[in-house]
Amino acid sequence: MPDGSTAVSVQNLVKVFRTPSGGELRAVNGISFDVQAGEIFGLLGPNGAGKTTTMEIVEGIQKPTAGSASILGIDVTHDFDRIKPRIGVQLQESEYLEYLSLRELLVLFASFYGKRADPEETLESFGLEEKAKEAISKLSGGQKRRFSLALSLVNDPDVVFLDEPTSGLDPQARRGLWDQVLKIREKGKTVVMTTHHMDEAKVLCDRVGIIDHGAIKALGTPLQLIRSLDSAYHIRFITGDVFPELRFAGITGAVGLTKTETKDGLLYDLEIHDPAESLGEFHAVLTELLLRTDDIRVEPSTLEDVFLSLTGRELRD
Amino acid sequence: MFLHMLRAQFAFMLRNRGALIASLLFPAFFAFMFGLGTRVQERPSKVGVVQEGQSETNDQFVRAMRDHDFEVFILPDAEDLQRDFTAIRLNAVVIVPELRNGGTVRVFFDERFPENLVQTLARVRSLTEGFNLDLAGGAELVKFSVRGLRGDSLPPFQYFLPSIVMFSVIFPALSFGGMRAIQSREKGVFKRLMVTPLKPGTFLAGEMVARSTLVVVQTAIVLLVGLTYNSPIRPESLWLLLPALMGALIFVSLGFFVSSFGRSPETVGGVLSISGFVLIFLSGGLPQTVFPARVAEVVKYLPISPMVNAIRGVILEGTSPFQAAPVETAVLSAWFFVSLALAVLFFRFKAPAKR
Repeated sequence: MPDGSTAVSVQNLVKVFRTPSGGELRAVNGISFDVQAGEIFGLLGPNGAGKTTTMEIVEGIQKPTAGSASILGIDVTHDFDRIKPRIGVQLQESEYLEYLSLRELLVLFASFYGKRADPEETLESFGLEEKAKEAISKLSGGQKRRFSLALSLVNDPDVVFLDEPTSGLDPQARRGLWDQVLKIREKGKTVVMTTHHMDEAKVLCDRVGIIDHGAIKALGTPLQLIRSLDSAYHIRFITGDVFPELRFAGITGAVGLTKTETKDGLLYDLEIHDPAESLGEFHAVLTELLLRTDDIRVEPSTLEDVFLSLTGRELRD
Repeated sequence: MFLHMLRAQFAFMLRNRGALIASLLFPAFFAFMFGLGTRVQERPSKVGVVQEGQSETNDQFVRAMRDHDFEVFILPDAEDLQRDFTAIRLNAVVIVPELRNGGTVRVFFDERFPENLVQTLARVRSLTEGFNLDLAGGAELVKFSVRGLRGDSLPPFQYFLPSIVMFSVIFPALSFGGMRAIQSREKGVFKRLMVTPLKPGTFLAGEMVARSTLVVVQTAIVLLVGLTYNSPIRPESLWLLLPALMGALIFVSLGFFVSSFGRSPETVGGVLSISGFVLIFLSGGLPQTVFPARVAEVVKYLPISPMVNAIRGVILEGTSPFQAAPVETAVLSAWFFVSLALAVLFFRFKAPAKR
């Protein structure tokens, strides 16, 4: 659990790339955030939002154009060698020295550090003990991601960086990896991760920074971000009937009504503050209008809704 | 850390079976082909002649040499043949005694250039046989003896041994050093290593030691194949490992150095291949006598020529390269330390910045 101290601090980070045409691309545009020790902090945003560039600056892989980043109080841009033994990194995509088995890779990487986790225990805790003698090229996608996560823990780090840890995995493999990430936090380590999956951010992250076009649009716990919306809940239903839509807009606590065409009819989305104050009236209107409806659902807003409200765009996978 | 890195480098080298087999077959193939090639005879161009007699027969002999397409340079004496070889860039020096009543023509060839032996033997044999036929009806009026200026005569295979070793170790060193570095960078292997405490120098050192081991095995294969061509392995032959190792490591280092500036395998591969082939062409592919003097002077200071000549020195003298070819060994050492320094200074896991 977070203990209140700051594990990672990013201040006014800017990264500008030169484009082949001679122009400039501002991939990171003044990002600032702090990560508390012991928490899982997520950068949530679509592809190209600047998540990986931000992570790679903090991990010391790239130099910032401006701004600063520190891990455990150590400036990564000037003193990165000092922090390397205390961090674990899982890159979005990485390959390893060829022709080595999983065990050999773990032993090799462990040899880089003074403080090291037991390779055998690491393999076992990630369910890879049977693959210990296999080359990484023989693993499935899920096993590869598990192994890269295991490798990031080989030095028993204080802070772990995970860049899109479940990218490209099927739902079952993703959930398996979520359990592993949660176990990392249980051990008191700080996790900084990127994702473009809102469900992943909601399940794993204590706090989330929503990032788009290189800037943090909102920062807080998933619940705080959702509650910051005018409409914290949605009543969704499908109907083929024609009815006076303004009757729903007048319901107490209603924020707005939108409709989307589906193959089953029109899907109506009534945004409301609080189900307790609006549901009774909603039911009364349905009865009054004699509407034939299918699939009525009351759902809380999601981080997708937060992203939509902040950027006007959907957060697509 | 280093030992684990070294183990990883060995694993890469030994488990990459295709590349390993190619690396080991390469020297065997070259040794075999060069062994066959020792029977190939070519013609010499420049020959110095020292006339010890004044008879008409002596003049006829020299005319016969010119008729046999020898480019003859008349030398006043045979006091400093080594100087004459170098100054006039002769293939051989022929010392013609007074031939009025016949005699033995002594032929000295410059051992530093092994092609001179087969060239000279073939040409002089043809010349004397024709001369004896014309003047003495086939009787052996003129005989000849051939010997190298330095050391004893050697089996022909040993004259090509330096070139065989050079070809065997340079090509794999070129492809494994720089190419592997750039491929590892492109695949993201180096990016993952960047965030660990591993130093690029440790990775480089592991590569160097693993590569050195392969060079030893490659050289041993060349020497073993040489046994089938009557080329003996002597204890002092081990000294040739030193220039072979330095030559290979120069190219591994240069490969890592070049990889620090190129962003794609195509660029780095192109630079390494072209530079490697040019160096090999200049330094080992052709006899240095075919180049203009200025080019030949430059070639002497490129890495492959000193490597080949230092190995040759070891074979001829049977001593260390420091004694047998001190200048070449010094040049090679300079290349080794400079290229190593460049690799250590410039090789980074991080990709070079876009320009």
